[in-house]
Parts: sequence; structure tokens; C-alpha cells
Amino acid sequence: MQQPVQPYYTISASFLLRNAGNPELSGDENIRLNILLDIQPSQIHGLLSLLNTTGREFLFSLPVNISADTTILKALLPACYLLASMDLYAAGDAPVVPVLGEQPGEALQTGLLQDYFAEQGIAAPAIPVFHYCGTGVQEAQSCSFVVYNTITPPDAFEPIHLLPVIIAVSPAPADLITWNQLAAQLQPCIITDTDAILSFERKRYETEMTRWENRALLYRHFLQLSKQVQEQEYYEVIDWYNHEYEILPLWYKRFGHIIKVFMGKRSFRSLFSDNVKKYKD
Amino acid sequence: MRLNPFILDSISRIAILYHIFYEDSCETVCQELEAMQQYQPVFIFNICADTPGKKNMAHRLKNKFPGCFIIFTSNTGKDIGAKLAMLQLLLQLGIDPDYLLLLHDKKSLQALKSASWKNDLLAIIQPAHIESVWQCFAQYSNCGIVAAKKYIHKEPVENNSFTGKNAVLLKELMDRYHIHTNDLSFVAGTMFWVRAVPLLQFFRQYNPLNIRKDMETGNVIDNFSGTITHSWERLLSWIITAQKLHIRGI
Repeated sequence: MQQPVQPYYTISASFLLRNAGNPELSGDENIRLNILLDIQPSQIHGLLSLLNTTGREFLFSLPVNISADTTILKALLPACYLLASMDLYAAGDAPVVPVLGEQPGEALQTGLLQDYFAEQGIAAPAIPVFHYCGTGVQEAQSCSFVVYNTITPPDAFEPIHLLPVIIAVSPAPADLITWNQLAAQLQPCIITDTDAILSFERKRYETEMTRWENRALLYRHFLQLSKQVQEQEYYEVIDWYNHEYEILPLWYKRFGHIIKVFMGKRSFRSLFSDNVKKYKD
Repeated sequence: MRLNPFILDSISRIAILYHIFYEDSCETVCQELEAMQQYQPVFIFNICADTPGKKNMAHRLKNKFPGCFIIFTSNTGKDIGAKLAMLQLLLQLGIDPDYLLLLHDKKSLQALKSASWKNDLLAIIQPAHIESVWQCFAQYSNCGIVAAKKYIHKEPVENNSFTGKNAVLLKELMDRYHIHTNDLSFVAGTMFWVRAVPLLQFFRQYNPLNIRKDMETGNVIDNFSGTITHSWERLLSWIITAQKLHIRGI
């Protein structure tokens, strides 16, 4: 059985920034984006704000020339990490950062990105490499990529087997209105078999279930830890008492109790009987 | 409570950085921050990536604080690591606030005083006290941090050497990041108001994410031995005191 699936439509970051403030950007929240990071690190602030405003879920990908350039890629690493950390980033639990190029065979520095993510304590991203010149559905590392040619559109779309699916429109639409129209028009045509969706959803539920299980273990750990910590604090107090008070001579301590009576901090009768209330509440 | 307009004039922009770790914190956070909305701050939330139901929490926060930024990050460096990630986002967004407010959903379930600790620390955002915060900053130009008085601690030192559990790490980190101060007061619990310029100046020089990557993962505590995470709890205050600014308690 087959059903439509929501793809991620590739749109360049530079195109998005040129259209900042355009009301078309905050149009249909169901049209999800795959942002091609073709901008300089200094332009990232605009992109982060813009993505937050659109409210659309997104993935991001790297142009092959950037992924091969160590200097630019290094400068982009913090921004890539923050993009992958945003709540609207759609592949948070299993990050995927596709590399998009005109043709196969260019050098990639993808290890840099994977190491950086790992250093920050998240799963190293899958980095599938896709090409605009490829035909049909390209599949790599649990991700599908389809180039939709507007000049010679296909008669029919092949079903997708791996999710998420990324669509690139070639040649790219010149304005946002056309871009939105095309995305809305393609939306029902991208289909997948129900098994692919179920498998994708099952992974998400399993991840969430694992989180709850880990949380239960964490609370158990807190219980054990609190015993250790409180025991330590108890002995610290006892030590303090022994060093500060218990060490004093008995006559001095007894004299101290008499002074307390004079100061009104202890009842006189309590000096002679244990059955009397010693202190005021 | 409305701000004195004279004081309000001097506050051009506030950023609130709030880290959420617990799955049941969302409503409490919304209530705590309700009074802050009148100052139109930039809200940045970090929800621990391991927190169940984080997507729903993000949705709720976006409804309550429209335009807020939300990130999910791993449990590295506890709330300190999360605050570093949020500082990186703040820098990356190019926002230049005048004041920052650092908060988190502290529970410290292992500690004896856990119930009162957070409430005491949160005095700094209670409507009854907030004007005192502005007055501290407005009256004292050398006031860099405002926090709950009870939790302004001093790191123990003997013969010019630290004596606490984090002693070795503190010395090493202070040398590495060139933080030199004689005022070793710090805010235990890391919830405070801080002037943004001196703090961000430091983090423009030293990338917060590079600092974060060396921190411990999981729910580390420093009751038994020192940790990089807890050392940075102190250093966040000392970045400010090293610039000849002081911590004031309310």
C-alpha cells in the first residue's frame, strides 16, 4: 500500500536570505525545507532568525564545494551544530547532513563535521552524498534524494523506500511564489510504501520509549546518589560537632548550659529534669 | 508590577537563557517567566536532548513565548554546558543585549536542601525584587552580577592556593583562559543577572562550544571529586570579577 509523504524541498540559504521579510516565507508550514548552506559563516545569524520565524521544519545540507573546503567548513561547524540543535530541525535524534553536488568524485571533509558533532555529545550525522545530475531516486544512508526537472517533468514518480526524502527542483524557481506553488503541487505526488512510514515512525517511538526508560533509571540513580550525598553531609555535620563542641571540657559545656538559662534560651527546670521542655519553639 | 520609567530607559535589551532538564518543568518555567514578558526579552531555551516529550515542551514554549529560540542539546556539562550552548546561539544570532539572565530548572534531587535552593535563587525574578536588581545595575557601575545573596559563595583559598575539591582544575582553567581575579566570589547554582558586555566579550574570544566539549557528560556532581563542569560554575562568575566588576546580592 502506498501513501503520500512529506518531503524536504531544497532551497538555498542565500535565496532565503534574499527573501527575508517576504510573507510567502511564512506560508504553508507543512512544506518542509532542506536548506542548502551556500552562505558565508558571517551570514548565519540571518538564517537562524529567519528559520525560527518561518516555523517550518527543516533539514540542511552542504554544497559539495563547502564540504571539501576545510577552512570554510571549520568556520561553519558551530553554525551546523546549532542548526542541528534547533527544535525545528527535523532529524534531531539521527542527524543527517546530505552533501549536494553537480557530479560525483569531489573530495569531502565530512569527518570534520562528524567529529565536531561527536565532541558536542550528539550522534555523528549520516552524510549521504547526492548529485543533481542523477536520475530517479538516489538512496544513501537512510535518506532519499530526487531531482525534479521542471523542463522535462517525469510522467510519474517512483515510490520512495527510505525516509526522509529530499527534493531538489532543477532549475531552481526564481521567486518564492513559484517555489511555494511547485512544492504544494508536488506534495501529493511524492509517495512511499506504508512500510517505510511505519518503520520510520517506529524508530521515533522506540527512541522516545528509550528516553523514558533512561529517565526511570536516572531517578533510581538519583535515589542512590542522594543516600551517598546525604550520608556524607551527615558525617560532615557530626565531624563539625565533634571538633567544635564535643572536644570542649565537660565543666565548660555545663557552664554554657547555665548561661543559656540566664539568656532565656533554655528553661531553668530542664537543668534538673529530662521530662521538661528544654527549648522554646 | 511596572518598572520605574527612569530605570526602564536604561534597560535597552534583555536576553533570558533558560535550561530545562526535567520532563515536568515546562509549566513551572512558563509561570516563572510570566512576569518577565513585560520587559520584552529575547528568550532562548535549551531543552536537554534526553528529556522525554521535548518536542511537546518546545511547542508549548513557542505558544507561550512567541519568537523564542529553542535548542535541544546533549547532557554535557549539565546546566553550565547548556548555558554555553545558548551563549553560542546568542553570539551566532548577533544579538547584543545589555543584560543576560541565566536560569535553569534546578532540582538537585540528591541534595538535602534541594527544595529551597531553587526558590532562593529565583528571588532575582520575583516581581517584588526585580526593581532591586535594576537599581543595583543602575546605581553601581561596577556591579557585574546580581544574584540571591544567600548563594554568593567564596571559593576557599589557603596560601594563595585553592583548597576545595575543584582546586587543581580551577588553577588549570584560570591559566588556560587567562582569568585572573582576587575576588573569588561566585554564584552557587548559576542563576543570576549579568551585564552582557563583559561576559560576551570573553566568549567572543573563547568559543563557548569549544569550552563545552571538554565538560563531563551526564549528571555529574562535585561532592566527591572535582569536575570541569563545577569549575566553570565558578569561572562564569570570575569572568566578571576578573574585569573589576562585583557580585551584589539581593
